[in-house]
Amino acid sequence: MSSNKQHFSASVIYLLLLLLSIATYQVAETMDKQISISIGVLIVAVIKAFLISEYFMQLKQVNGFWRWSVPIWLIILAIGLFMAFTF
Amino acid sequence: MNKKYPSGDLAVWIFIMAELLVFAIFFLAYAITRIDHVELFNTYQSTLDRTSALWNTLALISASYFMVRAVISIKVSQPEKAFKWALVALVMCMVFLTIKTLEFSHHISQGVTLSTNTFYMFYLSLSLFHYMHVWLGLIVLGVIARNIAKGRYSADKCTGAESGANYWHMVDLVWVILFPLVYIM
Repeated sequence: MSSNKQHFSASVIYLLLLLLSIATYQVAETMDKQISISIGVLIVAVIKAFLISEYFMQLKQVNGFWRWSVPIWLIILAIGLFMAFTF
Repeated sequence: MNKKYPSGDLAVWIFIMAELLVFAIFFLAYAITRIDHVELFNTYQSTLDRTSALWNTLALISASYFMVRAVISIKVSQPEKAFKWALVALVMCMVFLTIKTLEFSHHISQGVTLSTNTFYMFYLSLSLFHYMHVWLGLIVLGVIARNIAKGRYSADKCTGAESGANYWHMVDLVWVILFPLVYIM
């Protein structure tokens, strides 16, 4: 990938991460605390963490075990948190 | 073409995975303990400064992005640009530490300790554990910036910078989960 493309994709991901963070905060500030909101916030957090691993840690460019190391960690954690919050 | 191993030193990746495992255990312990104390957790969660946490989130994400730019600049042989990006990443790291230190001092002035209640025990220990990682990140980013300034990295030889940047991304990634879990959910 050329450096210009890398700069561009990193910048797009950066803006997306900022927007998702601000949106999460806005939802928390304006809406009542409900389990559906908590699950929505968890899903957004998992998406943000996945974007960081894919584009900032560059796992997108890797094959095999390391490619899935962080996403598998994320999925297991998300399932655990989901179960704990919906129990 | 995809690579077999991620960028940076493999030993640092093993360290990162170990750290992620420890944080996951911490997060799950928090969530499982919350099951029996939902009201207590909701009540004391509302005493936390969510706005400061948002600014901290933006600071960490920005620092991560600036480190991505620094590493890319090293790889295209632009050390001056790389140094500037590493410096702004350092500033963002200091912004996080300043806000978090003020948050901790506010809690201490209110008499909050680890033994105040179960929520604060988790909140303080999780936050402090992450806070220590940010301090280590500050040192790592400082060393990277110094090495860039001294011309120790080149397009072919930047494993140290990549490893340090990956450590920093891990600190950011953990906060991205910690922020909603402790402050919002």
